[in-house]
Amino acid sequence: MNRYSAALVSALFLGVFSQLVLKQVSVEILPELRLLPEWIQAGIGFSEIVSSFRSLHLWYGLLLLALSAYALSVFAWLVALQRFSLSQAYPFLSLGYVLVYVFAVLMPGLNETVSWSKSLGIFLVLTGVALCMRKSTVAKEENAKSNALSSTAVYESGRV
Amino acid sequence: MSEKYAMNLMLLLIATILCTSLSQVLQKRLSLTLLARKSNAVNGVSDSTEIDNGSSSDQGETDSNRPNDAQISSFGLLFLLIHGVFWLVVGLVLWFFVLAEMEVSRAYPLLSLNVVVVLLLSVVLFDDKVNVQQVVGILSILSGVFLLSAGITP
Repeated sequence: MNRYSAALVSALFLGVFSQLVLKQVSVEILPELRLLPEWIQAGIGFSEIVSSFRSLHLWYGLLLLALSAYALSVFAWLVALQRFSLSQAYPFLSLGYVLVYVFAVLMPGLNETVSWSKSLGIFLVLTGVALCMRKSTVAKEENAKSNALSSTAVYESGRV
Repeated sequence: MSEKYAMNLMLLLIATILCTSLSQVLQKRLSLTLLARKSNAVNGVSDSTEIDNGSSSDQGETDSNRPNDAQISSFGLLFLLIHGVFWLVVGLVLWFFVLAEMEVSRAYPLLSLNVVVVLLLSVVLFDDKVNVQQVVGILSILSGVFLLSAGITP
């Protein structure tokens, strides 16, 4: 396995990891943020708000972890695109949908379920992405070189 | 109640996708400009005719009906860079709120609507061609998105 394949695989796993951690953090932090107007209305003091946020500092650390994993995955994606064409790399990256599905079901904190409609939906999305990205043979010869240069920037942040 | 919730959530998701797509189109424009400048510098063409942000295409480039990529000023480049990053960050923040409400296994595949939006935008903005295969792909993505969004529950 050369370093471009390694970059592609790590882009996939870092992306999946960042999504799962981001989900976990959003579940924990958002209810607290919603309480903010109530605190202000009830006249709760500044120190109480600060201490409440301080109890959440673990989650802010995880948020930072998720964001840095995301940034790393974008970097790995750029490295991988130097070797692989977008039509190979992007469908591979969308395997992340399946991985997120599996891990979200397995993770205890998230309470996500398996269902037929979800599985079929993900399968259809994967097929569609592969079809959209696959170049027709004419276009392949025509802009094999220009695609390598220009499409990189278009899809470098193709995932949130 | 439930339908309205699902609809609001989908609207939020679509806003997220539009932000990231906008960011990608800006990045594409930026990369095209940088490439054009590079090739101009190599060919020794002087780029002294700097136009404000390249929106005025009626300067005689009739070979392509869009502004000459090299004729974007440094101010325009900065504008593209800042907006490219800004809308990406806005998209990330919106995405965070989507995640808080929706199952991640449902929401993450919905992001591939991005592919459809960018494909359509690239047809309009960059004169790309869409073939039959890609139309089938778009339909497949849309039906997958329909299936996934049908199951949104509070």
